[in-house]
Amino acid sequence: MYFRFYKAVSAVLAILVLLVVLFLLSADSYKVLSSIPLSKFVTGRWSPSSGEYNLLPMAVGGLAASMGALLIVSPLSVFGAMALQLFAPRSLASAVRKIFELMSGIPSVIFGLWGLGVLVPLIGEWTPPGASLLAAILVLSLMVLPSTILLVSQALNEVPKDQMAASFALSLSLASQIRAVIFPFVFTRVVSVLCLQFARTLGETMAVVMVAGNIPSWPTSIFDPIRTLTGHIALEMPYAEGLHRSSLMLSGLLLCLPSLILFYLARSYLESRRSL
Amino acid sequence: MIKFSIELCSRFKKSSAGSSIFGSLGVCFAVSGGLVLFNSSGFAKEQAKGTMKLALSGSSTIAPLASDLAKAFEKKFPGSRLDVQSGGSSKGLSDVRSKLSDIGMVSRDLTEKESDLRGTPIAYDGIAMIAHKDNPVAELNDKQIVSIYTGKITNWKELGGADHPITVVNKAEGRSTLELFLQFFSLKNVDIKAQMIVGENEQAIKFVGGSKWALGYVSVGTAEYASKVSKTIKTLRLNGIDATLVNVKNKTYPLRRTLNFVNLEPSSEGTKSFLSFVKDSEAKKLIEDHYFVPL
Repeated sequence: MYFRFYKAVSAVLAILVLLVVLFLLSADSYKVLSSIPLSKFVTGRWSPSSGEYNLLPMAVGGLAASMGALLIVSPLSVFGAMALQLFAPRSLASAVRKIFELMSGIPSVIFGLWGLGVLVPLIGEWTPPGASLLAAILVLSLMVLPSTILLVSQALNEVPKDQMAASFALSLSLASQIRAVIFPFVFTRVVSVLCLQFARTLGETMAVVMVAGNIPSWPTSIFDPIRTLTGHIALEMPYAEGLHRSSLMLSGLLLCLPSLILFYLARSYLESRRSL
Repeated sequence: MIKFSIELCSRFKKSSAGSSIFGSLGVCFAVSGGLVLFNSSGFAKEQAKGTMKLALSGSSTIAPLASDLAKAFEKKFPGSRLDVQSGGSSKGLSDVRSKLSDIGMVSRDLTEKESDLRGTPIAYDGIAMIAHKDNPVAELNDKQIVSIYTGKITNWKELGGADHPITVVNKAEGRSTLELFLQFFSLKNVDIKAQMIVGENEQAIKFVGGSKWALGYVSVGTAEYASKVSKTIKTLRLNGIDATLVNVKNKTYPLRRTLNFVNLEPSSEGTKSFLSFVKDSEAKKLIEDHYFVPL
């Protein structure tokens, strides 16, 4: 009885809090939205001191870094999880899993520090300046890879044992087992795992600020520095005022909405597939 | 405070998974939202009940230091209430003249036109150019720095160094070091062609210490400390003068400015006690915490 009451209260509270946040962000963004024409946010440069508020490079930079990380992490995590779950000897698999569990507990700042101290100089020796989209992609990939592998291998583990046994009894090869039994079962789960990890990379701040270069302009190659929306807020908020501050709130709103939409899509996709 | 809550958010997001993701996302955003709200309006609306009330306004360079000084002062003198607002040095001057505030914060040397006000220097602020310790270049002059930061010089060999491209490190918009840097070299931020933008001084030092061919700038206090302790960076001489705290203090180092408090004569009791508090050893520590140089 009481338990149910608490559940209801916390559910309402969670929703309320989210609404309050969205309201605050919108209210604070309103100042800049009402005094600057919308086209100003997608053209020109980022230079609040001279009234230029182009947020597009930051939005694109953040998306590029997250997409890049997703491109690296998706195949690695799927194949890695398959290796762990289907091919590796049990003792080795559990040892490797322990390592991944440990790695997924490392705070992202540590990955950022590693990127700043090791990765950035390394890329810099090869193609200066080093702090770049590439560095951001690699640091983000490394950051989410362990937990992604663990989540995907958990999905693989959920494949019903009787189906595996039946397909084995039909003397299907491992390749056909993967294609006909495992793949259809885990596909939706893997997609939702990747969506969540994508949102995680999109929201990452400190690790990216340390390695991405943070130049608010369009990248032309993966060796160019980029700035993400999260990094943008973290770098400029402490001393921002007036319209500048309001435009950072707008960046927050821009950041919030795609994350929420992504969560929603991942969830509803999963639900629709499950009900089939 | 705000930055901290943003970091907190990203932590939260990571630890939450699956079904609770909406809830925890909401909670952490609410925390940051609440802090933002409190920050922007909470203090100003609160009415002073104490006996002493002081209003400070002016330079955004000094404002963070001034609010720390104000907090320490309020602790030492219970009942006192100090309100710190930033908005630029010129706002500080005009607010004091129109008696909107008791003390103005001015982050430059005072000119003769301002002799109607009583100026109290509280600290110096200087900027040191820094490079990796293995970089053979030891000195730069004004012209070279302007050329580097506007993208006209892009290789260390043009400065007598090794044949490597220069990685130019700049500061994020709104930072006081950026403001002084731009003002001293008469540059506009949009004309600067940088490869890396950093926020805190520490971040610049970490980056330059890690990349052999980077050039950056930080507060002199931070630079001197880092070049002595971590030994991954070195400070570059500017126009032949070493970037040291001593040279900032004796005014031989050019890339420096004085941070002043100004007030109208005669000073009120509250103003007097705050200005003398600013010269305490406790205040000195706060000044150093903000990478300024105490007098």
